[in-house]
Amino acid sequence: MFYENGKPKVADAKGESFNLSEVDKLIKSSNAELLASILQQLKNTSYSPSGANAREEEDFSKDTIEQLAKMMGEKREEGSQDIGKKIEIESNLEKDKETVDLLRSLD
Amino acid sequence: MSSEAKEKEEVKAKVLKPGVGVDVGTANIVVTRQYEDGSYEVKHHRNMLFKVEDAEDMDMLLANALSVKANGKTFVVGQDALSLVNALGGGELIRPMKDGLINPSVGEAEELLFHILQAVVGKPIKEGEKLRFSVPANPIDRPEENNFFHEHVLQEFFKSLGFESKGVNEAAAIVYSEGISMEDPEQGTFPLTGVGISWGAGMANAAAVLKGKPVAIISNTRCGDYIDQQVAKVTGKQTSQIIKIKERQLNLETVNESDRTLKALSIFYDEVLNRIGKGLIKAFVESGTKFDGPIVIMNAGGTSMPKGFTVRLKNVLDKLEMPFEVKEVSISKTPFYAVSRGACLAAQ
Repeated sequence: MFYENGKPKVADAKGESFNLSEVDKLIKSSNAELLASILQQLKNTSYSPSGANAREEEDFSKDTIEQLAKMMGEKREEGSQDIGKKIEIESNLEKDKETVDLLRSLD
Repeated sequence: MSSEAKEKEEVKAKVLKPGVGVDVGTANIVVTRQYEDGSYEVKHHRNMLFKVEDAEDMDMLLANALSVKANGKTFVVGQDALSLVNALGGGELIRPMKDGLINPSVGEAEELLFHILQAVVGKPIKEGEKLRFSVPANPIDRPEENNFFHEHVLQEFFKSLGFESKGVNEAAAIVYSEGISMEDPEQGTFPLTGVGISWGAGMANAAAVLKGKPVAIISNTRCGDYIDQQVAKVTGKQTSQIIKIKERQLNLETVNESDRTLKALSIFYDEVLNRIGKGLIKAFVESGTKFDGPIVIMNAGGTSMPKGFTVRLKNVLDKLEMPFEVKEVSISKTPFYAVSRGACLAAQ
């Protein structure tokens, strides 16, 4: 069945945020060049794996996910998946009726 | 208008007429219904999926994405699939349809397509509501293929949802949508007469229609996807990148010759337009039909959406020997929705 996933876990539950090993697994599983480059860039600048800097690891994953979520969000805002949205199309009731009548006579 | 009359009008505007039109395209599925006030409700969806290898790992990326589970696998669906592949910079999009028909190389193609269709079409608003779905003509470039299986499978699927379903030629649906007519100097107006061409992703479909009846129908599997794939080959770019460039930058009237991708797109567009022009002429002549008045050639479909498309098509047709006078080469004001709108009118 179709479903919409909820809010990102990182937004409301720090304990469930991505850790680095999961992100690495994600890179391997998705073969994602762009994601890999974003992560590598962030690794080079902000990653510190232990102790007092553990919080940075949490922020790092949150940043990454937010960046990708934002990229997808921008695409969505373009309106290409407006399921159910009523789109205005110029209509001509009289002409449409003539078309319907002619097509009914052929059906 | 009194407030009571206004209220009545508003209520009327919200009432849907029975009859639903579905454009089942290789790249997009478009569903149209009409309200009693004449306005239309349109729903659309990219006909593509992206398989997620490990759903748990991808949970955060899937936030807000539309997804479907089938046979224990998770698929991101529609525009979100394309967005995700673009965002990730790689990955294979699964297309339940190929070249206008159900994709035989995707094992779950029928099931995945039905999931998407069910979500977009919904339930009938009355028992046995009429539904007309687009069906391509048999492709002239692949004489071994025909649309019988595709049409039968879709007809049965919509029937299982409770509709009275039937296929309608997708190019003829454009003629219905736009209500084009021919003025015969001696016999007056011929309604629903002219040429419709649907430029889709997997196929281009053309139909010459006389008083609502398709008299010559053809299709060619070389259309939008073919253009994307060929341009990707010669430029070394990914198909998803080509789609983006085609949709955002291409102008067929003034092509930037210094841009290799845009130039390649222009070359392959010419090839596709020529094939359809020649194919339609041959089928029309063989049909023995004659148009005694000048004809409107009405275009629609995602592949016809780049700027300058009609000018380019007119240039191509001018070089061919047309068997009828062309009054105008035009494009639907709603090129993305015309087929489903025509099917909707045929369903009423």
